[in-house]
Amino acid sequence: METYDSIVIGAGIAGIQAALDLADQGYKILLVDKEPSIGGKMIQLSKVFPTLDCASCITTPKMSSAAHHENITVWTYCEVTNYHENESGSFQVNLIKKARLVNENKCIGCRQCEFACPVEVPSEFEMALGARKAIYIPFQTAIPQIALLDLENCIACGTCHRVCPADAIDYLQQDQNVEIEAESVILATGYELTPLGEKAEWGGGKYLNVISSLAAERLLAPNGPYLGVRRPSDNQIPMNIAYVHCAGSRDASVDRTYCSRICCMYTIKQAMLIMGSLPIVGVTCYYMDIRAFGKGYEQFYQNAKAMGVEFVKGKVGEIRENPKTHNLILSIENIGDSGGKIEVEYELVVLSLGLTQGSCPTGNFPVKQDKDGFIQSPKLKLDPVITSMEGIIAAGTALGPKDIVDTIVEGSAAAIKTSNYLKARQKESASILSLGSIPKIDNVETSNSEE
Amino acid sequence: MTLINPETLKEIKTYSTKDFSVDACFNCGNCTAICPISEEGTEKGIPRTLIRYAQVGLKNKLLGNRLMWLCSYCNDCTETCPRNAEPGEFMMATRRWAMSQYEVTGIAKLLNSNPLFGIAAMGIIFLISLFLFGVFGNPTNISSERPIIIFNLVPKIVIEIIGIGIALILIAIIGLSIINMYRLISKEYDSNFIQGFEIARNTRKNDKKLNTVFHLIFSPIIMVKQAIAVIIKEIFGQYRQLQCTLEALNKRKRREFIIYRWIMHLLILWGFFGLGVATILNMLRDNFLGSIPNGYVPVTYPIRIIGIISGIALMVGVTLAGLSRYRKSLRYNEHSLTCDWIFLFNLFMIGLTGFILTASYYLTFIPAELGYWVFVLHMIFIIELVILAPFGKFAHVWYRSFALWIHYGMQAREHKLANELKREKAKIEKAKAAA
Repeated sequence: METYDSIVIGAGIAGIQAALDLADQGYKILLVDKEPSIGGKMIQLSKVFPTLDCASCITTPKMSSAAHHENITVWTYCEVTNYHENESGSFQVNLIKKARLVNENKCIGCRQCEFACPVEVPSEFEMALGARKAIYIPFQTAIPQIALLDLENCIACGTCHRVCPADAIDYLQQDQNVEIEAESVILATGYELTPLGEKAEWGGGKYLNVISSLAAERLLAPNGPYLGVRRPSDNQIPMNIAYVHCAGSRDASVDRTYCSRICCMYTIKQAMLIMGSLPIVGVTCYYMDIRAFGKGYEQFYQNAKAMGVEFVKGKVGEIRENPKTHNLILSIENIGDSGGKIEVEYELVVLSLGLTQGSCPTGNFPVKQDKDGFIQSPKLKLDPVITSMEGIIAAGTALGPKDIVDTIVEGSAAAIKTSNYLKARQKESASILSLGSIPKIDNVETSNSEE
Repeated sequence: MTLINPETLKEIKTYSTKDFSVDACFNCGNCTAICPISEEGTEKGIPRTLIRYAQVGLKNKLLGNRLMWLCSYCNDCTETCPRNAEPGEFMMATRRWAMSQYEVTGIAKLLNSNPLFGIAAMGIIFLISLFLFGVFGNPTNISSERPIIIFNLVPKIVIEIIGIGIALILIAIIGLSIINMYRLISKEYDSNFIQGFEIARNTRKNDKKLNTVFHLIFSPIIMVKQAIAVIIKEIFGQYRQLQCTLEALNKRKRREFIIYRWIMHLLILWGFFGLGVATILNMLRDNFLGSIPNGYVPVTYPIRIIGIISGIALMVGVTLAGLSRYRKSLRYNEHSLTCDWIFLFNLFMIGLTGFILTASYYLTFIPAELGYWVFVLHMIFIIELVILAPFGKFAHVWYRSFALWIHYGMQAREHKLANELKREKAKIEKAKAAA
């Protein structure tokens, strides 16, 4: 059984940051992710606020250094199934390495199989706006550059096997159960966007031109599916775009009353990027409040206004589609102007979706969760990354909605907390070794009360 | 001058069974955006505008808003409200509150906000009616002989005098209340109207007609036309309720059969109307064609047929309404007040006793004495319904209709004025071009 000082679950930006900080101190780290590539959600973004850095330009170096660090072992496409605690207090963790149907040691990432594969299916990375093959590398800068075969869509034609120069395709590969031992755990399991079709009145998932904010990120990304901002229904440049703020957060009707924090800011950022790339396009943001909470954020908001992005107070009540043009008609209350209900037509609508818990936020460890599914912080104010279990630290959006700046801060915080914990354990075991084991006295109280 | 009453919202809340959290509203405008009756224009964005008035305490603005009477509580606003502020229930409570503010005697205030008052009032009216029956009636005339001649029990003249007397008092109360309502609405409308037509003021400064809302309302052709429209479309068709429910159904794709509610309401309305028509026809016949000896008519008599069919419609409607209120199966009747129940109970009892009475005329196995006693009950419940009418739920009939009438009239007037302005502008431009 392999032993590690810490296992980091989730290789998004929080997990990578925590792993790097710990590994730099000399700890041996196992970094696992359920997806076939590390990078998490951040690698999908176009640019980041408020600096407008290119997201993949600043994420890829971090991913790369994590992957090549001598103290970090990266396992992708791999999930924690269960665990038990040793007598010594370390964790014995069972993981399942899902079968890629491609031999990881042989694959050289040449993508010949992908080019030859005849099956095209919607790409998860491109938020279904683009296509991928049935055998594929998730995206261009994926780490590791190892293909995987999607068995559900494979037609078993055998083409990939024929074209593979390294003979890496292994149709008979099985899921593999692995057991490792780790002194501590870092949960950086991240978030999911709230469902697109949650509010039926907005027609998300029903109307082609109502898209999620992450899909809009892909439209804006330089390596995006359409190489520019186009709307899905007819691949034309939308001449006016509406953003619906607070879609799926701060909304009691969908049982999610918390603020997702980042949506206002990424909406402003996206609006700015659209104004930058397509100056003739009108962008209108329908908001309840603008919450520009961080350093430099308010200025960012003011800049967007100055660039000509229109901000209108009023929650969008309903969206209807013009079936001929696939344009969308928004019902809003014209609060700031003449008043009353008005209907406005847009060619593309982006729902600024909020954040909700990831598919398995606790990574199958029994840490306590808040009512809304995020991992609970028992010492929220002074020790925000501590969880309800000793030896398990959490970081990033698994604890609650936050932006990239705060996520990275928490990644580092989790690293130093883990480091402290590991140091304390080393000392403890050293002192126990020197003193000899202390006999446990469990029944003192009960025997007293019986008497 | 605008009067601010900070207690307004607290006051409105006492007109609901539920302590709805409308204070939580942060004015995002979702309710207005999803509301099927909300329109474009100053102060036409309901319910949010009304919630704002209530929060701020603009009592007169709230009372002067006719648009709340357009709402038929489809509850879309409540279902989609991001703050669980329940705008739908707020609108309902506001209508009850407004009704008690318009009403001149103050009884409506007690009846709507105090659940015990309604029950006590019912009891007192029952006892007084029974007492009157003891004084004016002849219980000794009750016998098992047929045919049943109900006017042997209470002289017809007594019923008619008491009936007309009560009716006159109630009509006076209703009339005054309606005038009150009109006064408040026209006051608010005047200012809005003028605000909305700045151009009109500039171009036709000397036109005094424009500045008086009375001209607007008493423009006779428009108002008669609109009255007919309201009666046909809104009262007998319940057009707006149907539109709202259909839109809600379409929007939310709910399984719940909300048209059921429209049908239910129409059954009660048509049933009640039919019974009224039958009663009036009966009176007219008695007075002008001579009364039928002993008041006995066969089942196939036309007026009797109208009465029976209407009675069945009323009973079916009332039973359905009662059941859905009891089960809370429809969204809008989750919070029933005592006065809602009293109204339904009275209608139900009138229908039931009416049926037993009719049956005892024709079915000989029913003891005739029972017929007499049921008649007494029938009369008492009619008195209950009529006396409570201006104060309880029944009052929505005229408040809503009147508000709709004003609304239709104002819309037509605004439309006409806008066209006039357009024409005038065109004229001026033509003149300029010619010059």
